[in-house]
This record gives sequence, C-alpha cells and structure tokens, in this order.
Amino acid sequence: MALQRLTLSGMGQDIKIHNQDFGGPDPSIGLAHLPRAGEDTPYKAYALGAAYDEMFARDGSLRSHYEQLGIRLATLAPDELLRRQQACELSFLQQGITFTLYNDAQQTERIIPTDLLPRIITAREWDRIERGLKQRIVALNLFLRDIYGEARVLKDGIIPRSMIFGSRHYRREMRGISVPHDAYINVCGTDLVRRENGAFVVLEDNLRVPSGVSYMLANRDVVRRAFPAVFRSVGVRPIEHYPQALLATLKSLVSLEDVSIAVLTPGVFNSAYFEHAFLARQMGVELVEGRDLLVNDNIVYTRTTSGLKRVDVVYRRIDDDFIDPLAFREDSSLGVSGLFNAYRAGNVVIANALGTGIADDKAVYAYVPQLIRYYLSEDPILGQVETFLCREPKALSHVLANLDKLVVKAVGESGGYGMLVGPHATSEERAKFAERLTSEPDNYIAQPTIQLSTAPTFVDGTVDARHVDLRPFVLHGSETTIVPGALTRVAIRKGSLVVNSSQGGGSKDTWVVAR
Amino acid sequence: MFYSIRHVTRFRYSAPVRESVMELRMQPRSEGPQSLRSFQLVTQPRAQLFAYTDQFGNAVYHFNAVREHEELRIEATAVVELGNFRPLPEAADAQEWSRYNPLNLTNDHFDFMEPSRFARMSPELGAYMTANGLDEPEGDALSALKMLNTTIRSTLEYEPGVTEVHSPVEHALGAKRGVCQDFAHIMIAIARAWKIPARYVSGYLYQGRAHGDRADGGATHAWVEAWLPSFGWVGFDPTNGTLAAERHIRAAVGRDYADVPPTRGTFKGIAQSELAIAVQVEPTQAPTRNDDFLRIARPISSPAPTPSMPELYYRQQQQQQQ
Amino acid sequence: MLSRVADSLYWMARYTERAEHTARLIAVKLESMIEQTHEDAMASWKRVATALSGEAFVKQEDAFDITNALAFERTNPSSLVSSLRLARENARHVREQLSTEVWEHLNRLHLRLQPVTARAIWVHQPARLFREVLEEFQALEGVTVSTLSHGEGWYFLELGRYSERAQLISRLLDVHFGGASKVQPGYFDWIVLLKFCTAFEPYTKLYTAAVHPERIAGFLLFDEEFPHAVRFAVHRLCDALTRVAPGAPPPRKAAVERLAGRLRAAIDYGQIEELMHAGRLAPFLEEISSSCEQIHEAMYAAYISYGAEAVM
Repeated sequence: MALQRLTLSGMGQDIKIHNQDFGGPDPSIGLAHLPRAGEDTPYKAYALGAAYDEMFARDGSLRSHYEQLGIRLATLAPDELLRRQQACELSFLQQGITFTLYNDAQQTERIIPTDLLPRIITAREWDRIERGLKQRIVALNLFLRDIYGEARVLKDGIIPRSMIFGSRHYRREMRGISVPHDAYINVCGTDLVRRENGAFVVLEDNLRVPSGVSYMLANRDVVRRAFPAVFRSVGVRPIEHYPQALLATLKSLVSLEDVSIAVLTPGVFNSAYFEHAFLARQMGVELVEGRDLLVNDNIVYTRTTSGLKRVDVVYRRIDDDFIDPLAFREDSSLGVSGLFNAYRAGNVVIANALGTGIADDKAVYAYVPQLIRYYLSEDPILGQVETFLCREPKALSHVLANLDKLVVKAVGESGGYGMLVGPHATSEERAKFAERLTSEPDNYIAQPTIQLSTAPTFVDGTVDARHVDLRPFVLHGSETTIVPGALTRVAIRKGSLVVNSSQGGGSKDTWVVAR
Repeated sequence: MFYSIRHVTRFRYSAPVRESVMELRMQPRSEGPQSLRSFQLVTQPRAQLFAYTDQFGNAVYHFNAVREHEELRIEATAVVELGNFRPLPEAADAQEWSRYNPLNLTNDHFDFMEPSRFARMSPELGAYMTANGLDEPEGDALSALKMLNTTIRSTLEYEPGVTEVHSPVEHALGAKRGVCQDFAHIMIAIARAWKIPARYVSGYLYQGRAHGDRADGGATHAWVEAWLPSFGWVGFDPTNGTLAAERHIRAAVGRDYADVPPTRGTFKGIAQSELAIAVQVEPTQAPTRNDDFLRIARPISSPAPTPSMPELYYRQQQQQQQ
Repeated sequence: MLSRVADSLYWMARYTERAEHTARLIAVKLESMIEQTHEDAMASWKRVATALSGEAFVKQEDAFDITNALAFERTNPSSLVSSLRLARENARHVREQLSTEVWEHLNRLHLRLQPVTARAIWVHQPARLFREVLEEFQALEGVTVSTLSHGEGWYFLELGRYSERAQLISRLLDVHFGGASKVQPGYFDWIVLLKFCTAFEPYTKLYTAAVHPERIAGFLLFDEEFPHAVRFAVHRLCDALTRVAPGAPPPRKAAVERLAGRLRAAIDYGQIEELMHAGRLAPFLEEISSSCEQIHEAMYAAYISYGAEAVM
C-alpha cells in the first residue's frame, strides 16, 4: 500500500506534520507481517485482557478495519508519535478548548486530554447503533408525551407510578403542555459500551443538557491532520456538519421562515462554556446568559444595543431547576423570570423541553426495553446492562450481598459522582455505601461491573489498551438525525473504568467507516 | 349565599425596581357547592394580564411590569356563590379505611400522599404526634381526622409574627404557636403519615374573630382538605377546629403553601420590599369599604442582589453538564 | 450585539486606557524625579496622585509610597493592578468577541503584574518595569486595531477608550492649571506634563522647545491631530457613537448624539487664550468632564441598561 504524494498548499502549521507523512518510506516496506499485539513495536506492551479489544482480536491479530492504522503506527519513527500527540495538545491549548474540573481546588483551565489514536467502528456496527438509537429516542419521546399527558403507561402498570411521580426530575408543570412535533428530547447523548462479547449496549442516556459534541468535532479536526493518509484510505464518514444539523433540528421546531435562536449558557465559569460558545458560533446564533433575556407580556426577548429582539427557540444548557426563578428555584440568578410561562403559552420553544430528566433517570433506564415494546411494538435493537433496582426488596438483598462485584449508582445524578465501583472500593467504602443503600434504597440502582472494551491509546511513549465508551449524539426535531461519529471517552489510568472528563478521563476521535 | 371578596396586595420598595414579574393565585375556584360568579383583577402599574390553569386546576394569572416603579398594587374582586353543603355524618363506617386501596387511589391522589416541601415528617413533628396521641389514627378515618383537627386547635396557640411565610413547621411546633399556614401544614403532614391524601387550601374566610374564629377576617386563610373515599375531599380548618364549610371560600389547592402562594414574583433592583395586604369578605348586600384599612403585614427581606463575582462563579460552575 | 457584551467591551477599553495612563504617569515621574529638588518632586508627585484619584491611598509623602499606592495597591480601585484586573475580567466575559491575540496580550500583562511589589522593583531602575508595561500596552493596542473586525464591538472599545482618555487628560490639565495645587508648576513641570501625554516631541515640532504653559494647555486641549489631545479624543468618541447600535430607533440615538454634538461644538470652538485670560479654564475643563459623564449615562440608558420601557 503506497502513500500518495500530494502537492502541499500553504496550510500553516499543518505543513510540518504532512511532510513527515509524505516524505516517509512506503509503510508496507520493512514489515514482514501485520503487527501483532504483544509482539511488534509499538504494541509490545499492549495488554489484552478479558475485555473486548477494538483493535486486536483475542489471538493478538489486527482486526481488518484497524489494519491501515496499525501498520502506520508500526512504521512511524519512535518519537514521531509523541511529537504528534504534543502537536495535538498544543492545538487544543491554542484554540482555548478547555474544561474546568469540578474537584480541582485551583480551578485552573485544563485541556481534556485527547488521545490522538482514533477509535474505529465498522459500517455494519454503526448501522445497528444508528437504528437502535433512532428507535430509542422515538420511544423515549413517546414516553414523555405519555407521562405528561394521559399516563397510560402508569395506568397499564408498566412502570410503578411512584418511580415517576416521586422523581425530582418529573415536572408536573409540563402536564398538558404541547411540544412541537412531540419532540421533548431534541439533543441526546447516549452512552454505549461494548461488552466482552463484542456487542454494543446502552449504558445510559443523557438528555437534559448533554455535552461533549464540541470535543467530538475538535478531536476530528486534530486527529485527521495527525494521520491524513490513514484517514483517507480508511474512508471515514464526515461529521463536520453537526452544527448545521443541530441548527436544522432547532429550526424544525418552529414553523416560521425566519427563526430566531439563542443558546442559553450559565456563563463563562461553567465547565462546558467553551462548547456553548463554539456551537453558537458555528450555528451563527446568539450566545446568551439569563440576564440577556427579558420576558415581556409573555414573549421572550434578548437585550441588544439596537433594542429588544424576539427569541423563538432557546437551546438551553441550564438545568430545569435554574432556568426560571418564577417557576422553579427562586434563588437562581442564571435564569429568566417568566420563561416557562412564555413556553407554556407556546410563544417560545425550549430545547430540550423541560422535564426530560425523568427519561434518563437511572431507575427508569431499567424499563426502557419494555417502553420500546410498549410504545413501538418492536423488540429493542440495542440491549442494555442488567440493572437491579434497589427499591425492590429482592434486588436490594442481592445487591447488598454482592457489593464487591457491582457498580452502584445514585438515581438522578450524573457525572460519576454518588457512585460505588464495588471491585475497586475498600471494604470500608463498601460498608458506608451499604448504610446509604439500606436507608434510602429507592435512590439507588446497581449494575454488574462490565469490562468496557479497550482501544489503542498512546500512553507512556507506547501504545497500550485503555477502556473506552462511546457517546454518539442524536438530534430529534421534525425528524431524527444522527451524525456518523461520536465522542469516545477513554479512561487514562490503566484499568480504570471511569471515563468522565470531570474526573480525569480523556477522549478520542471516532471513525465510522463508510463501507 | 353570595359573597364578595376584595383582596388588595401592595408591595412597596425602598428604591425603584424594574422588571417585576408576578403570578397570582387569587381567583376562587368553581367546584362543588362553590361557584365563581365574577372575577376582576387590576394592577398598578397597569399591565397586560395572562392566565393559565396549573396542574392542580388553579387559575393562575401573571403579568410583568418593566418600567421602574416603587410600588406594585394588585386588586382582586370576586363574587362567589356558596351553595348548601351536604352534611357529613358524625363518623364514617368501619370499612372506610379499607377503601384506601389502589382501585380508588388514582394518579391524582399521589401528589397529596407524598411529603412536600413544607408538609413532611420530622423528629419534632413525630414527637408532637406521640405527645398528643396522634401516632395512629383513632377510630374511623373521618373521626380520626376530626380529632386531629381539634387537637391542633387546642394544643397550638394562634399568634402571628412568631413564624414567617417560609418557616418549616418545626418553628411553630417549638413555639407551640403559629398561624393558619403552619396548622395546615402540620395537619397535612400527619394525615399523610396516616396514608390519607391531604392537600392545602388557600382562600378566604368570612368573618373572623367576631364569629369566634381565632384568625382575623382581614387576611387570606389556609386550611386542609383530606380525601375520604366515601365523601371525596372534605375540608378541615385546624386553625379554628371546625370543618370548612359555608364560610370558607376556596381559591387554590396544592400540596402545601409552596404550590399556592397568593402572589409570587421576582424583580430586578436592590431594594427592600414591604408587603401590605387587605382582605375584605362580605355578603354582597353589604356596601364595599375603601382601603384605608390596609395594614402592614410584615416586611419581606429583599431578594438576593446580583451575586458577587465569586458567587456567580460558583453558581455557574454548579450547572452540571452531563 | 448583546447589551451585556457591549458593556463588557466598553469597560474593558476604559480600564485598559486608565491602566496605561497610570503606568505612563508613574514611569515619567520616576524618570524625571532625579532632575528636581525634593520639594518640587513631591509637589509633582502629589499632582500625579490627584490626577489619578489616588490621594486617599497615599500614606506617606515619598515617591516609594506614592508609586505603591498608585500602581500596586489592591484596595485602590483605580490603581494599575486594579484597572488591569478589571480590564481582564471584562475581557474574559466576552472572550468570544476578542481575537486570541488581544485576549492573550491582556491576560499576560495582567498575570505579569499580579505578583509584582513596589519593594521588589524599587532598588533597580523602577521606571524600567513601567516602560516595559507601556510597551505591552502599545502592542495590545496594535493587535486590537489589526486583529479585530471593526464592527460594532470594536466601536464600543473605541468609545470606552476615548471617553476615558478625554476625562483623564482633562483631569490632568485641571490639576496643573486649576490652581488647586499649592505649589505652582515650574518650568520643568510643564515638560513633564507634556511627557505624561507623550506630547513632548509633537509639541516641540509645533512650537519649538520654548515652554509656554498657555500653549501647552492649548495643545493638549484643542489640537485636532494629536492622539492624546482632548479634542482628538472627543472627535473619536463622537465618531464611535455614530457607529454603535446601528439598529436602534432614531429617537433613542438622537438623545445621545445631541449630547455628543454639544461637547464637540464646545471643544471645536473653544479658544485657549480666551479661556485663560478670563480665568475660565478650570470651569471649562469641568464642563468637559461632566459632559463626558452625561454622554456615558445617556449611552448606557439608550443601548445597555435601557430596560424594555425604552422600546415599548
């Protein structure tokens, strides 16, 4: 497989990287065979375990969709990979793609580490994921319409009423309010994991204020320039149109020619502020904070130097509780008084709708396969992780007896907090958690620890396996759009299963092969 | 019986404020023996009024006042007809308790059986229950509720100024005195502990002290409705130890006060606000009086000023992005 | 553009201008101090402190303390470090509106000055720090002009910068000519005044090195072409006002423009000889300052904190 020599146009800092790519030797020269895990540089220390590995089969041989990348890495000069990784980080820093970490006492801006080795998914695998996600979001939207309407699903006994009505994410105010296209969830980031047997299953949906899409786009931008030839020869599907797809989705919620859209952010100190600003800029819409908006006579306006401008759609990145001090928490300084009443009257659209949090409640998660059957009369395409609901006495005793093997999560908390990873916890931590479980069992669910699949990651100067998950983004308005890509999150620490960026995880570019 | 109700609310601000946004829950409901004959709302500054029905079936009006103002005044006038109340028997039959079952309890009852912000259990409330023989309901459901009603009346003194509008019931329990809002919350919490759906009613009471009531007639009133399978929602007034009947005019119902404050609003500006309320309930033949009988209820603390930089930082940070 | 963003840009520019002006006054004073007697130097220092509204923070009458109060004192809201900190805070809130170059310059400058103390720099050529800082300000101005699109946001920056400049120079003139100072400025002080405004060379080109206080006042007040003259600043300010809030309804713009027009007329038709001989220089300077404040208020009310009543 010979690399093509392209003429270089002035591309600024890219030139240095490209030179190496095109000036080097034919990569297939010098390799006696396809590299194998555990045997050939740079995979000598690549540890294959019980988890499914994205790149290598169990016998250490390269999976076919990883061949081009596998060969390329094997033929790079030893320092070259490090250099490219550093160039990648520099690019992020220069662009100001930073994320403030919650537990960091100093509150400095840090970059989320991006690992430059892409995670590759075959066309067939993606097709199934896409179909499964579309099915899921349709079912979840029907569920929301139902529980904010007739609540047939409760009358028919599919889900216990107390689980819905007792959840703090269930917003009674939404009862009877009609939502454009019955699309409550407009943007959803669903976390998938690949199990030991190679199947992708849904770990959790994020459909309140899902974030991470800006990293998905930034990673693509940087990694494509790090491996331009491999990128081209693999034939990766493009994802750059996400902002346009998001814009189209938001526009579809209003039947006007000229739709005025604003991205509502909590402000510069929010950890995902960069993404809010990025998306607003890419879509060509205004980025606003609560104090920029004013509701007058039930219509929402932004305050501009030229006067008040009406807003039709608010893409909000503020949680329900804080979005309107009149309707919800009165101490919120981030929201807009009267926004919900304007929404109720149909004078403004809010995306995602309020009250979607009940659908990504960790306890409701256990019921989603049944919801798919109930609303769509179809079998779920994507499976889930088996879940024990501690509110059920039998489940609770099973969980307490097996704490060392389970992951226990608090219902209704996101970001990896309020969680116990049984196998990794000390017996003290488990005992303390057991107390919490017995005192408020309704608040917890448990799942077996799954071996997330591993993918090649550049660590300590070499390529090694690290656990990853997959977060594709689903857009839903008058129709469902899924951009063929995802944010792959990677646990930087060896053996760690926690991939959340707020707790020190990193991310990768995800390549979905076209054919 | 026809009643006319006049409810005047006046906010005064220590400095001009702007962008006031306010919601009102003052329109009497039309249900059962009560039907609303007319209702009118006037605001100063004049504002466009909007209305919706909330999840409890209450009529909610809202408006906003953008320009700078130092005073906000809302005047609601209503005429309500109260028909005859079906008299309740002294007690319910022994099977009444068994009728609290999944067949009869619907989605609509759910909210009124769960603890809510102000009406929930606590060690202090538990101690009060034990001290007054209220740990378990005695007798049939109706009798038990009646006893609960009169027990609250006799064990807690009525005294305004001890508790405030956001006080948890522990304040009243500790001081052994409070106002109608506190008594209602206590009764609701205990009824719910007994697994009886109970809700908070905000409204007006005709006559007040002259009639032997403990509360004044010149203010809004709060009482309780508990649900009995054979009788539906039955009104109890723990402030006065009576059933809520022909002198109680219902404006709004909810899980507790937090769902149905007569006024609820926000404004922009750094100012203290002072609230004055006047309520006048009369049978309609009586002439209406003018409002020089406004009395100052109690000063309300001003809302939080624009947060300082560190606080803004903290608040924005706390917006979790999933 | 969003009113809040316009507000942040405007203040970012005002604080930057204030910081630069402060740095320059201190730098010039430190360099010229050795050429004066102690009394004259202290009188001059006191004028500087007054011009920078920092008298309240001066504890001792010596150069070290005054430098510390005006440059590094955090409780002084107009000190160099305070102004820079506020400029940077405002910039941070509107980072998307700024280029990377502008943000990084400002941020670096702020971070650089954060840990500096008067004591640390005093021993060895203290003026040098301020000169370096001034160079940074000039670089910042350069990237502001060249890397930002000259749209509405840029004109809010102009508005902030020149409003501040007009007021700062007026105040500086007032302190020297107003007679509030107990010690009358001497020959050397007039040269220093010109240097405060980077005006020494332009002035001498026009008038030769002969120092006439009246001519200096006239130059710094009424020169049309010199960037640190009040008239120049007022022209730029008026020009910026015509470029902001393009979509605002004419009646609202008119209120602001009327005030700007009056100020411009006053400064265009003023004559230094007339003012000085009639002893009306001080009231004239006062009028300039208060006009600038009124324009600020009107601009705010029209475009930034208007509240919906202005539109209804």
